[in-house]
Amino acid sequence: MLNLVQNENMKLYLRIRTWIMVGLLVLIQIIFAFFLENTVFSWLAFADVSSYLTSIIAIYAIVTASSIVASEFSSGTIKMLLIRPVSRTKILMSKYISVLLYISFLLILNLLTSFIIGFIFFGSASASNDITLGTVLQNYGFTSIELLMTATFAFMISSLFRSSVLSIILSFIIHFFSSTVVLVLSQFNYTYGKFFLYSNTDLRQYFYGNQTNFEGMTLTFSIFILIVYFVLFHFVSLYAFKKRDVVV
Amino acid sequence: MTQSSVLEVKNVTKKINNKTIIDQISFSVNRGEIYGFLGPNGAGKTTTIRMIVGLMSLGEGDIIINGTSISKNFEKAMHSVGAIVENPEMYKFLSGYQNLVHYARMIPGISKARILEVTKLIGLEDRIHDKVKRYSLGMRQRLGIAQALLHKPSLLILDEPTNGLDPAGIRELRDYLRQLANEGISTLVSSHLLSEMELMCDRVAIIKEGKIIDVKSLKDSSEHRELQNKVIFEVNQPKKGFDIIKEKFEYKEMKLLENGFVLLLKREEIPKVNQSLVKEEILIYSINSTSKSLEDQFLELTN
Repeated sequence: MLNLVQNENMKLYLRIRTWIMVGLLVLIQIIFAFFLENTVFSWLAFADVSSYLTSIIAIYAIVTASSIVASEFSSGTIKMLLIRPVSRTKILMSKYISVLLYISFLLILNLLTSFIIGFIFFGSASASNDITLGTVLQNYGFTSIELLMTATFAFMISSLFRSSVLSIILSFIIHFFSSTVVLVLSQFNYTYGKFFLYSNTDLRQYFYGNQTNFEGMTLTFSIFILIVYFVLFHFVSLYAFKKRDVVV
Repeated sequence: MTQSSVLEVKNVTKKINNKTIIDQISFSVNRGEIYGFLGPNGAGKTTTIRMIVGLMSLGEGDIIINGTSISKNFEKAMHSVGAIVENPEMYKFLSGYQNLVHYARMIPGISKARILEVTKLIGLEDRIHDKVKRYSLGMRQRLGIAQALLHKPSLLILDEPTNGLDPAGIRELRDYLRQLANEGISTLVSSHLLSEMELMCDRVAIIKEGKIIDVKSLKDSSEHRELQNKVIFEVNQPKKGFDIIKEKFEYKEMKLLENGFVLLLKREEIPKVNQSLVKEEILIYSINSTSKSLEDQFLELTN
């Protein structure tokens, strides 16, 4: 299994695309820092602002997760992969793990570079406002849950389709319309809206005195819904991947 | 099953959308045998191969590799199989070496030395660290063979392996498969190149519309002797020779040519005809026997 993950990592990190994404992430932070240079800003405040760049990481997560299976079909290499003495379940799981590792890598990279760039541009002075290291890390924690669900969903789409382009586009459309759907559903206070995945992905709604998306939602409820979706996505992708006749 | 068969396909049927693609196919490949799978495009060669290597599910029947059923223990069965299905699709953004490392990691016990050994075997040492996208089709094909051989399989499955190889490459492949066969490794090879199969295989199964319609042994010389070959005699007096032979042997299928004549003969009859001509003092410049090729037989069977 470790070998398989190693393989997936090799295929991921030897692609130029992967490093362009990493480079862009750092570049955006530097541009941010230039714009904010003359304001009164602390390095922690910068790290806090940078934590919202995780929406870019979400895009990378979608691109990577939704192409990691489908691209093997697009390129025909899936044939070479599945004729080994390794079960399809293991192959699929190794791909999923390598997606999660990549997302973790991006999150940690984003956090560390925001510290470094923050120090360089704004110095080590502590700010007067109430941003602490804890709030920054909390932000990352909440985002990780969103990213996990987004990636798992995109990964399922990836296992369902043979074209990586179609898979990426579909995942994107669903991802970007999901927040609008949540908004519309909550405007009309549609009762079943609380069972919608994207009503539950942002657990921040239960903290900092925020309002929940729908009435009657609790933290336990959301965690339960997230687990159900998580298991469902994995079940669907595994079923589709194991059942499929490979005809590419 | 007998101890000597490495691959046994038993009554395999495959239906896709209620259409029968493969219909009750059964055959077996012996140890050290090169078994050919011959048929026109769309006959079901690739579908059968896909089922053997687990890319497609079996509709009915079973496939047994080295005594292990692929439907019961796929992973164990695949330990003895190396394969190329259609084109050898490699990761183009990786080097040839990285591709081999990738596949080596999927099977325990393949050393770095083995990867280098296989690289040397296919003669790609100089280019192995280049990216695959810079390889020619022939080089990719050879890399495909390398990945199939990495774990020393006892059954090699090659789908259209001569695609993209130049004549020298084809010859090399043929010699190499023969060498592997001598070491006890069996090969199942599919092709629509009939002349290639004739030179490469010990036995050939002819497949048409999802059924095996004939299995021919190409090694069995007795069968060869039975066959009538087209024999062309080039002589100084075509008409005289033609009449003599026609009268003496009463051959029906005989044709007069400008510089000789042609007739259908069994191998052992050729000297007799030759003797009769010599006796009548007809000068013979050449005797050409063209064996009825697999191609002729194949076209006869499939059309």
